[in-house]
Amino acid sequence: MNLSLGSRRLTVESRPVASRTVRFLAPTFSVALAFVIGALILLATGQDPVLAYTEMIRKGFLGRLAITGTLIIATPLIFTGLAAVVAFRMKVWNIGAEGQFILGAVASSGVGLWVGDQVGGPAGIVLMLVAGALAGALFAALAALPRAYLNTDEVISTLMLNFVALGIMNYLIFSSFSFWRDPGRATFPVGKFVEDVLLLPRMVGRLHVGLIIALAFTVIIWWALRYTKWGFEVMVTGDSPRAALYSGMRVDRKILSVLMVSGALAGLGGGIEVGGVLGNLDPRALSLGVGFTGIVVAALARLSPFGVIPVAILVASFSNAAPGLQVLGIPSEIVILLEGILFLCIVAGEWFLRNAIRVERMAGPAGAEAPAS
Amino acid sequence: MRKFRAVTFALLALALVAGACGGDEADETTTTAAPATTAAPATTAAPEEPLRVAFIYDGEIDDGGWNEAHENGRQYLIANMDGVETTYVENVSPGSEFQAAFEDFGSQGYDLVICTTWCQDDVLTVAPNYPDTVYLSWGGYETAPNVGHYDGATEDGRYLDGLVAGSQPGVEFIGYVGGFAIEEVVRGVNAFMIGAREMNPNIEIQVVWVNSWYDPPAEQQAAQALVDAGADLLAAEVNAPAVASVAEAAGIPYIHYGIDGSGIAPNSWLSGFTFDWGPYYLSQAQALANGTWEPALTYGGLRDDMIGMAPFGSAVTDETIALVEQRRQEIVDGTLDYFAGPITDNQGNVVIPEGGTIPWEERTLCCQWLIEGVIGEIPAG
Amino acid sequence: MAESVPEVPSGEAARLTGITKHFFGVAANEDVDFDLRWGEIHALLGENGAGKSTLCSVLAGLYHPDSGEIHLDGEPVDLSSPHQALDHGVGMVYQHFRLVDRFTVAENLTLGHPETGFFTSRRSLERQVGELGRRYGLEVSPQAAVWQLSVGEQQRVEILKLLYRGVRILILDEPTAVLTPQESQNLFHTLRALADDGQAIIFVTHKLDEVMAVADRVTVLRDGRKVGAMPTSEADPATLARMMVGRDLSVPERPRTAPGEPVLSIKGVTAEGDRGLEAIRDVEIEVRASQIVGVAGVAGNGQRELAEVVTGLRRPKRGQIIMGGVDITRSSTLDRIKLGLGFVPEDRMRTGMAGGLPLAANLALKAYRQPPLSRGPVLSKQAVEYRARTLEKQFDIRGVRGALPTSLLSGGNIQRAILARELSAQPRVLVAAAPTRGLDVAAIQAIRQLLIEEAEAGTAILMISEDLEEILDLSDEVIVLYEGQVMGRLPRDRADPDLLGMLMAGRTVDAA
Repeated sequence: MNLSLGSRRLTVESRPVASRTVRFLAPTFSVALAFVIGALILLATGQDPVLAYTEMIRKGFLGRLAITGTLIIATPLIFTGLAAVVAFRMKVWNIGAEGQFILGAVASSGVGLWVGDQVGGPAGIVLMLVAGALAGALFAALAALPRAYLNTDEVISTLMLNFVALGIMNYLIFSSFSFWRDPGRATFPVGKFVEDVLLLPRMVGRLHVGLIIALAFTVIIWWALRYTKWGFEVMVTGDSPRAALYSGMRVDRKILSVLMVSGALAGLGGGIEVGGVLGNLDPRALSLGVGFTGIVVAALARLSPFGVIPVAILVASFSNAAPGLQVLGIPSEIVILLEGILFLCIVAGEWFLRNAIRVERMAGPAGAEAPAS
Repeated sequence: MRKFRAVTFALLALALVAGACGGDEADETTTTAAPATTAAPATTAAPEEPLRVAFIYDGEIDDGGWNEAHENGRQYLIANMDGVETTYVENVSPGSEFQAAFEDFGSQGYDLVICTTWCQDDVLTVAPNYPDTVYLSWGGYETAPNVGHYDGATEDGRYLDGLVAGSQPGVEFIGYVGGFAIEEVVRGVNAFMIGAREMNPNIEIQVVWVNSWYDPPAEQQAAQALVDAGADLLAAEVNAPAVASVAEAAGIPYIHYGIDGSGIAPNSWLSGFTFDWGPYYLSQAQALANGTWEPALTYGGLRDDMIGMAPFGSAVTDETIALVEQRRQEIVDGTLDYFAGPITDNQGNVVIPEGGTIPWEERTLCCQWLIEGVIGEIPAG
Repeated sequence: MAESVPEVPSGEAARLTGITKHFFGVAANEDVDFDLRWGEIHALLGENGAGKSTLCSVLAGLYHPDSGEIHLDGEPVDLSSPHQALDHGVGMVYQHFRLVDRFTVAENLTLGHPETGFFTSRRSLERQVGELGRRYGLEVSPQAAVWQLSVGEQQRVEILKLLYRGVRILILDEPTAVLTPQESQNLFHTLRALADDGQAIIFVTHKLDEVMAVADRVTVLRDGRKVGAMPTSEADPATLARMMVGRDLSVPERPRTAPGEPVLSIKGVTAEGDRGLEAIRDVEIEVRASQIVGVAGVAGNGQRELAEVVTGLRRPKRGQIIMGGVDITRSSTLDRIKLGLGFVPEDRMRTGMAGGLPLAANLALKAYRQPPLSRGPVLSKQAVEYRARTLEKQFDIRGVRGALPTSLLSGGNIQRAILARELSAQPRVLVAAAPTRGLDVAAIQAIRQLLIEEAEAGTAILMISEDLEEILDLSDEVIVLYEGQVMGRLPRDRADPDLLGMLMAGRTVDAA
C-alpha cells in the first residue's frame, strides 16, 4: 500500500514479527490513548474527566460492593470469552456463544426444576451445570456438524442459531405455559424458581462460587491448549488445516470438538448465571449480549485464556460503574463511548503490530527514511 | 441498543482476530443527557434531612414510551414535594446489574429506590440486606417489610381508547401491534374491543405480536403489514413510536399507548391512555416522610388517577370526548363495569357468563383468551 | 556520474548505479551497479535471495531504492510506480502471470490501456498481434480466452502485452521455471529475435545452462551484491557456479544399490482433481526398496494429485495402492503414516509446515502422538523442544529462533526441517514432491544428498519433480506424466533430456 503526500511517500509494509517491546507497548499505548481521547471528549462536553475516571475506578473496584458487583458481572463474560478463545484459536468463528449461553441457562434451569430438592444441593448443582454445558455443546454441534462435514459457513449458522435460542427462551416464558414458566405469576411472565439448595453458594455478599469455577476453567483451557495433544492439534489446525490433514489429524473431528467445547463453556456460563444470580430462567436478564461481548473480550485478550480474566473484569467494571457515573451527572453514554474508543484504539494498535509505516522521499537519491508509527 | 452495541463490537472483534484490519467503523455519537441529580427547590418548609429517592430505568428516559412515563412521574414528585432529592440511572440491565444498582443505593442510605420495570426477584435478592431502604418494584406481588409493588390498570385506559377508536367514522378493521401475548397485554386488547364495539358492533381487530419489548424495526414491519392488510386504524401496545409513523404515512388514525405522544403523529393522532405514575410516587414518598409507609400491592386505575387520557386529536368530536368523560366518571364512581358478562371469546366460548365479571383483585390474572371479534391467537397455552 | 553517460541510441539502454535497498534492516541489494545495452540479452544470475528480483523490481518501478540512480537511455529517471516504468518503456514478466483468466487475449492486451477504443481498434489490434506474433514467434489467437491457453502461451501473451504497450526494455523473472524444454527453446528463439530488433532483455535465472545457451552477457549477484559481469563468450559454467555460490560444488554421485522388494505399488489409479475432472488416469507405478523412481512432467499434469492419492489426502476413484503388502487404498492419512509413509509435499509453507508455528512444533507434527513427546493425552513440551534441538543439529537447520514462526526461515532450512521430520520417522516409503524447487544451489545439493542416503538405507522413494536435471541425477527409473497419464517409463540409462522433453510435451515415443 502506498500513499503519496506531497514530496513524501508513505509505504505500509507488513511486519513479519513484532519485537517483544512493540508487542508490550502497543496494547499499553492503545489503552492509554483510549483514556486520553475519552478525557478530551469529557472535557469537550463540559465534564470533569478526573472525576469521571475516579468514579469509574471507585464504583468498579473500590470497596466490597464495587468489587463483588464487578466480579459477578464479569463471571459470565469469562465463560463466553473463553468460548471465543477456544474456537478462534483454531480460526473457527463461533459467533453463537450468545445462543449457547441461553440454551445452557434453559437446560440448567430445566434440570434444576426437574430435580427439585430430590438429590440435595451439591449433586443437584452439578447436574444443573453439566446440563448447561451439555446443552451448549449440543447446540454448538448443530452448527459444527455441517461445518465439519459439509463445509458450510459457521459464521452464518452460529449467528442464526442465536436467534433460534432466543426464540426458544422467549417462547418458554413469554408465549407459553411451559414447564419453565411460573404459572402463579401473572402480572409479568417469569420463570419458576429452582429450590434454594440448588443455588450456587455465595462467598462474599452476592459473589457466588461461579467465579471460582470460571477461574478453574480458565486454567483448564490454558492447560489443555498448551499441554495436550488436543491443544497441539487445535494449534496446528488453526495455523494450517492442510498441514493438519497432511500430518494425519482429523480436521473434521477437531472442528466438531472445538465448537462443542466452545459451546459447552458458553452453556456452562448460562447455567452458572441461573444458579448464581437469577435462580430462574429470566429471558430479559439472559439476552443482554453476553455472548457477543465475550467475542470482544477474547479479542482484547488476544486469544489468551488468562488474558480473558482481566479484560472481562475491566469490561464488567464499566457496566458496574455506569449507574454511579450517572448519579454524578456524567451521562451513561460515556461508558459506551469509552468502550468503543478503547476497542478502536486496540484495533489500531493491533494494526501497527502487523504493519510498519515508512516515510520516504519520493525524489532525490538521498535515502531519507524515517520510521513512523 | 445495548445488544446492538455488543453485536457491533463483536463483529469488529472478529475482524480483529481474523487478521483483517478494520478501522472505518463509525462510533456511536455522544448525546449529552441532562444532569441527573435534581435537588428539590429550596423552600422554607424543607426538613433538615431530605428524602432521597432513586429511580432505576432499564431503558432511556426519553424513549417516548414506558420509561418516559415513569420519568414524568419523577418530575411530578419533584414538583409537588418539598424536601425530596431524586436521582436516576438509565440503561441498567436486569439481573446482576439491577442487583448491583439496588445494593449501591441501599448502601448509600437512600430512603426509596424505585425500579420501573419487572424486577421483583432482583429486588428481593438485595432488599433484606438494606432494611432502612424501601424498594418499590413495578408489577411485583410478593411484598417484604421494605418492599412494595405497583402496577397500573391498563384495561381501564384501553376501554376508553376503544371508545375513541370505535367512534371514528368508517373504522371497521383495526390493526393492533402488541409486544408479547402476556395477560396484561391481552387484557388490554379485550377491554379495547369492548369499548370499540360499544360504538360500532362491526369492528374487528387484528393483533400482531412482535415478540419483543423493544424492537422498532419489527414494530414498524408489523404495523406496515397491518396497513397492507387493510387496517383503517392502528393501535399500539409497544414502547416505540414506530407504529405511529406508519399510521401517519398511511394517513389513518392512530391510538398511542401509555404516554402523551400527540407530537409524534400530528395528523393521525386520536388519543391514548397515559400511565400517571406521579401521584403514586408522591403518595409513597410522603408516607415515608411521615413514617406511615406500609408494604403494599397497589393496582391503580382511573379511580386512583394512575391511568389518564392524553389530549385528543382534532379528528375526535366533542361528542365523543364528552362520552369518554362520562364513561370515565362512571368507572370512577363504580357504576360501570365494562367486563360485565356475558363475554364470548373469539373461539365462541362464553368466558364470562351473564351476571359475571372479572373482580378487581383478580384482574391481573386475566386474560388467557381473546375476545370475540379479535383476529389472532395467543401462541400456545 | 550522469554527465559521463554517452548519448548513443545503439549503446546503453539502462544503467543502474549504486542501488541499495533494505527490507527491515536486511540488505536485499547493496551498492549494485548494472548496465544493459540495446540489442542484448543480459542474464542476471544468482541463487535464491541473491537480490535478482529486488534489482529487477527497482528497474520496473515496483520498489523505490533507498539510494542509487537509474538512467534510461542516458537520462536520469525516478521510477515511483510500475506505471511510470511502463511509460519509460520498461516492463516485466513476473513469475506469476497477471492476466485475467476469463478475458480473451485481445482484451488482456487492451486492459488498462484506455487510449485503445473498443470498436475502432479491434481489427487493427488483431492485425498488430498477428504481426508481432509472426515476427517474434509469439503466435497466439487473439480471440482465445486466457484460461484456454497453455502456460507457455500465457507467457507469450504477457510478452505481447508489454510489446503492445511499447516496452523496449523487457525483464523476464525466471521465465523457464514453468516451461517444458521445448517451450523454453521457443522462448529463447523469441528473445533472440527481439534482441536482434534492438530490444534490451534482462533474463533472470539461476540455471547455468540457460545462461550459456541464450545470454550475450551475464551479471552475477550474491548476497545482494554484484560479484561480476562478463560476456558469456568469456564465461564457463564452473566459473559462474563458483561466482554464484562462493565456493566449488561437487555434484553428489548416486551409487547404484540393487533395488529390493517392491514396497509401494500404485495399480491403475484414477483420481479427480479439485475441479472434478480426472486429474490422473490409470496410473501404474511400482517403487522398490532402495530405489528412487522419478516422476517427470510439466507442472499441472497430475503430479499433485498423484502425491495426494498416495499419501491419503485425496481419495482415488479407481485403482489400488499397496504398501508393504497392505492395501492402503482406503486407509486414512494417519494409518499410512503409521505404516511408514513419509511425505515431502510440494507446498512447503502451508502443507508441509504450519508456517505460523515455531519450528519445534512443526518438527513434532507427526511424532507428537507417541512417547516420548506425549503420554496419553498430555504433551511434553520439554520432549518436543529436546527433539527439535536434536534434529536441528543433526540436519543442520539454521536460523531458528525460539518461538518465531517457521515461515521466517529460508526455503532451504524449511526443506531440511521437513526432511528431518520425515526421515527421523524412518519411513519405508518416502514421497518427495518438488524437493528442491526454489532452493539455492547449496541447499539443493544438501537435500539431494539426503535423498540419496535415504535410498541407500533402503527406503523406497517416489520423487516427483519438474526439474529434469534432478530427475536424471537421482532416479533409477523415470516415469513421465502427461495429462494425468503415464506417457513413458524409462530406466535411467535410457533417459535423456530430449526424449523426456518430447514425452513431457505429450508426444508418444516408440522407443519408450
